[in-house]
Amino acid sequence: MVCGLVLCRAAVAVALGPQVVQTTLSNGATLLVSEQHNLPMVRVHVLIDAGARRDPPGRGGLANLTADLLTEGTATRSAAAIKEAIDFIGGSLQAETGLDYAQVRLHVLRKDLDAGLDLLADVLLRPAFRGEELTRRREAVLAAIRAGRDDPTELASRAFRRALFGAEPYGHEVEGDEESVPRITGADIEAFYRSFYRPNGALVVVVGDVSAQDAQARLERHLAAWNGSASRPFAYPTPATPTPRTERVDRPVTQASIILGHRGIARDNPDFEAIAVMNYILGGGGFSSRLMDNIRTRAGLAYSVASFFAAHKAPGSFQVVMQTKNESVADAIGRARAEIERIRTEPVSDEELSDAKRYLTGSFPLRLDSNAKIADFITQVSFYGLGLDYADQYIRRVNAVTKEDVQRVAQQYLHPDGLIEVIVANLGKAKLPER
Amino acid sequence: MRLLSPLVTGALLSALLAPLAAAAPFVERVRETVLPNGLKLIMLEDHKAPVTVFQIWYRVGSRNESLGHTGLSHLLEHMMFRGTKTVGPEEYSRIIQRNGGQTNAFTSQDYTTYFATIASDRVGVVVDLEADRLANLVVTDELYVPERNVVQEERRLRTENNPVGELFEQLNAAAYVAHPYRHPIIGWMGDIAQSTTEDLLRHYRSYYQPNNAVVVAVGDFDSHQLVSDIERAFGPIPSGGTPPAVRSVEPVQRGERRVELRREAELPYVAIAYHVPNLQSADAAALEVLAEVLAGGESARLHHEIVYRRRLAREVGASFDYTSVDPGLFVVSAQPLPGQSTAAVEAALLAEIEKIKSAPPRPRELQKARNGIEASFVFAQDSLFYQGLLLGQYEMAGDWRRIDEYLPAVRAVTADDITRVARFYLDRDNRTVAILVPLPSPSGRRLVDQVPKGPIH
Repeated sequence: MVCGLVLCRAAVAVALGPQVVQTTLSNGATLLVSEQHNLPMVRVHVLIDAGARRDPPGRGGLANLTADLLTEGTATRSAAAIKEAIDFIGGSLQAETGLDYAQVRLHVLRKDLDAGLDLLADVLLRPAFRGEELTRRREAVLAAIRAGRDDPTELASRAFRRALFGAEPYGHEVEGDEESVPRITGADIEAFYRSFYRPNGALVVVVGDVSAQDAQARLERHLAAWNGSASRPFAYPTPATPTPRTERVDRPVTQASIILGHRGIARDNPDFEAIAVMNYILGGGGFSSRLMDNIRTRAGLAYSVASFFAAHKAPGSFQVVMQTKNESVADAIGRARAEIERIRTEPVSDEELSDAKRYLTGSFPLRLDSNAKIADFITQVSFYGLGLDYADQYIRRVNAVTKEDVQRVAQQYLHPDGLIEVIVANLGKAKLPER
Repeated sequence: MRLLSPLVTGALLSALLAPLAAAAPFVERVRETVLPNGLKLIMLEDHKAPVTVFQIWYRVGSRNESLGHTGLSHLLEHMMFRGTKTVGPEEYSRIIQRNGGQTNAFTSQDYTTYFATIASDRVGVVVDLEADRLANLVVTDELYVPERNVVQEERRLRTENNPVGELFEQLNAAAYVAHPYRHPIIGWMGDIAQSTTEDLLRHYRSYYQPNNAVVVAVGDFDSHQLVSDIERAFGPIPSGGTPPAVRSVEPVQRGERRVELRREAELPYVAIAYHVPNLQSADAAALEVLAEVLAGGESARLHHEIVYRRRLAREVGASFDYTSVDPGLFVVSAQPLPGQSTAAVEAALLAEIEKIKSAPPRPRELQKARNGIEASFVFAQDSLFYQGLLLGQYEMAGDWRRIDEYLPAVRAVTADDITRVARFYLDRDNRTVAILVPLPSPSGRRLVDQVPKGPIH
């Protein structure tokens, strides 16, 4: 990293990413600071290797409830006292859980940084996990799961996840389901917290109006009591290959939600950038993509249609997601399948390749134009081991992608014969493809 | 909205965000110019990243529509991407993306906004394309029929398949009797289905004139250079007639209205709307702080009492559109937890409203609300896009310079002001209550796709 966006924009061509100072706190956590002094505010994101992939079998939602309960009471503060304290300084303090990791995110005005760090450290180091709060949060998670059933695309997404990953660590929703969540006990949560909320392996990302030295001194002070050896490394089991299948869910809807997909790639896949180019052309590029052009622009069958690779620490999914009226289901699916087939069998055009590369490289600064985006970028490149110079590497690798690369990765990573097909529709009205 | 976007999620923008203010006054940082044809330019340089957000705002939304012709502003927003005399269908988006930019648009009750975020050295590309489609849009049946189908799919996605979305549509339709804020922004399904290219072209000619548009640019550009680029591209477009004024004035409501939506859904929902003024009134700042006292965070009254302490609801909210062009609604809402009745949740919401009418907020509670509003204001300036949104929304509501009045007005609100506006506006006779009553599926009535059969045009 020679210099960052703010410090010397003229040098963008040689160093696109944010300037980051990386150090190790004495408790073993990695500290990454990017100074951004344009507004008097600071973000502190703490990443813990405690995502939903760590949920034990039958306890889907444990990681999520554990993170959720951090801000619901500590040894010395009630849940209400925590909310009042963070609201009083106009800040936010939230725990979020994903498949691979959990995060506690603090956002405060600079003048309130110590007050914010005091709260952050308290919830991270001394959560109380009181029974009454567990009851409340469990009830809230179950209600959210139920409310999600009103969204047909959410229903389709849940069915697709189960069909693709089965009993694997990515096979359940982060929040769990209506069977697993009621089973989670206070003891489960205490044990999960003790096993995984360790400073070793944690990332502390600070972005905002604070110097790297100052940030380090403050975090050493606030996190001094956090210690413990690294938690056991996570090993994803060897995935089974699910057979292609169709899941059909009957709902009284006027519009069907459809997902076609299969196993995807891990984030550290060396073909990641070539796949990004290929997927941009197929269905990731909005109105520049073939799926959008075919299904929306030319046929008027859908408002939204897109494809993506959800890349995680272990291989995630490839998905085409779209909604269309019941009567057009078979037509829309046929068109999507044809486009997946076509990008494997025919080379893309020079113009498509060049447009995709120009968008992916040219829009990179847009991915770093706010402190929130900078913090997320630093978090992800660090967690997935992409290197702090990843922004520059990304541009170089995208620029190196050829038409042959696009066709090769299409053949290697798209499997039209292995597609799982999920259709949530009014099945009585829908014209469905042959099974 | 033309495409679900990570920038602007949720329903079509009606009351997206609370207004915010700045460290240095906007009036010292923003440059305004008006071209001879009436096009206004509002420019805010912010050099933190080599990126510019370019927005063009047209003073037209569902507010400018009539019964039988609802949804035209939003349909026209879609057609603005279907090409001009020289640019092919969807070519606009492809050109922007090929230049590393991102683009989208949204329609509200009051305005239609197009925006692109792009590396600053490419902003001229956006300027040329926007000028072209202001002057040279092509609307033919061949282009329009598929797009009309796309918008019907959008409506199915947002409303027919979204019980809470449909409830809010019913709430607006009941709360207003005379003013076009009763129309859904996306339009009624029957109106969308029967709209014609003639309707769209009439709408385009009436409202898409330089004298009815405002350009907002925020980011890493040189204002002098940008003005000259815009003059070159937009200058030759002649000014048009003055668009027809919206005359409707909503009469004072005299008595509670209730509306029930019975349909398949997992959980019920309760929404209560009161007619309130907007920033044209001295009471607006007090209403803003009132909304924050009621629902600004999990420590605020509605969440603490109804979600946390009494465990009646899974979520609550209070919202108020400070910058609506005509007087809008103050909406309090909640989704009951499974097993809790809408009657109990409605009673709990109304009890909180009675409480704030009978006793002013405590000093620390008032200070917390002010702090929350001020911090949100600073935080929002992290985003170039939202700074542009703020400038545009204030300009649509009257004058972008009034942004600078916002924080001083919020700071001046007293505890007694809050009680006073709560008593005056949050009155039984001024409210509309909308209740979503879930029917079990599939024994309940089937959903009917209400598209007229047969040829439409």
